[in-house]
Amino acid sequence: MIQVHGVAKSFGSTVAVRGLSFDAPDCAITGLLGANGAGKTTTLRMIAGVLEPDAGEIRVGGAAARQLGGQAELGALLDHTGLYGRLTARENLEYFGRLRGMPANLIEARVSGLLASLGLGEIADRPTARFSQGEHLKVALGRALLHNPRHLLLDEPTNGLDVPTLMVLRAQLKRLRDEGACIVFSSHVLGEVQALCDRVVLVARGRVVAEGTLAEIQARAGIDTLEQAFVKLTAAVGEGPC
Amino acid sequence: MLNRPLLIARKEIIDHLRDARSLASAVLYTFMGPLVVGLMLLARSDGASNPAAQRTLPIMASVFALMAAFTGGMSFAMDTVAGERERRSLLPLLMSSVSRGELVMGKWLAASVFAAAAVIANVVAFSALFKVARLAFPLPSIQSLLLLAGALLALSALVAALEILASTVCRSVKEAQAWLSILVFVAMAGGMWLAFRPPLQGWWLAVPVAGHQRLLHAAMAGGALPVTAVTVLIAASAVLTALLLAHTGRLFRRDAIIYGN
Repeated sequence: MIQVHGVAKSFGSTVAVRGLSFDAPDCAITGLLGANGAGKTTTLRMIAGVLEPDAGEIRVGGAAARQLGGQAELGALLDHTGLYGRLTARENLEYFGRLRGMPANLIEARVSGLLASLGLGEIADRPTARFSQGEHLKVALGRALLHNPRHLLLDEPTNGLDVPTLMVLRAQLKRLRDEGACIVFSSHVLGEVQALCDRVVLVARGRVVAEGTLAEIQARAGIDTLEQAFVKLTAAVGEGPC
Repeated sequence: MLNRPLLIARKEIIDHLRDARSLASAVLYTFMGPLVVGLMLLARSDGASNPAAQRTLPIMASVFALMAAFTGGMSFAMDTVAGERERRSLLPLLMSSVSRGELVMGKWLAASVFAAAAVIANVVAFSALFKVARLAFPLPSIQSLLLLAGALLALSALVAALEILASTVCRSVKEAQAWLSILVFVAMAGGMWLAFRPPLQGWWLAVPVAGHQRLLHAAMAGGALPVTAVTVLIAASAVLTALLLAHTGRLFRRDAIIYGN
């Protein structure tokens, strides 16, 4: 379970997140939905432990997000793939498997399996510098899924993915959820959220404006479609840059 | 405890060895000194027997060797922190149960390997050149060679820590390149100034870089190296290296160091 309570973060005079709170339970895909600049990426970076909140508390599986114990069972694909261009796709994944302390035979099996399922088998031994944007994203997804994490953070992971890989990603996420994982998925694509998420946290101007199942969000807004509910609920706090 | 820093260092070394352009530049800088001195000896037929050359060549060699320690890991240091920050590849590392201290240690270890390889290759190339040119420098004793090796490893570790720190505080690869080039220039100019002054005595020998230059000069000329002075120099370099690494580790806790803004 991921618990975010009263978290705030500013960059100079720009307030990115202001007192944001939500829980993302196990066995569920929680969608963090908001317009550009709503504070989704900053929130995910703080959950991943790479940004220190100015206030509030974040716990990942009971451990503080900044503690390495919290990261041991966390997989994340944030706003940049950050691959090593001179290493091959296989080497990139193996490196992170070793850093996570996975046994050599498990690394080999997981890397081969992921490369095949993500459609990277034929280019697995080529340096990633020559990869397309979509191929970069697939390798980074593989890195996030490598250790079968109990907590998974994905920031707009479907941007640039082809349809077959999108289907593989959806299947992987649903499998992980059914095995008990807690998945937080950020997107501004409503269709993607509807297709994947069990729960939705609606974020606007660094605050949570609504949360619950899709049906609960729509009921709260008194509107049948998520799109219109999103517009109505976010308009209440005034969308746009913070 | 050292497992992750060693894994990081190993990956960094393999990764950097595949960067042909930066590797070629490091090799060129490493052998620039022996090449320049070799060309001078070729240009003057009496070079090897000339008393002035006998006096000056070890001085020049010591300055070039000092410079090699700085240039050997320079492009690596630039790329491994400032470059990684630009490419945003520090983030996945920090989300993989790798502590910031382990990250700094791993990168410093790799930079030390490049710096040590450069300075040792430079000294070996100079020794070979002097032997081929039949310069009448006596060979240093095994003890002096061991002391020199220890001092050069300590110098490499110190220079690597300094370069990783510089790369950490710079906001871009370009800025890191500018500052690290200035660092190399300062080392070279300082080494040259010290080389032509009367030999350093007393506590000056324990001052890192200055003491290293004096040791290199003495070793190149075939002189014996004082055990106590070299031991103190190695210890002083180790303390300074530890302080620089601790400071870099503290800087890595700042968001701006990871994100560059």
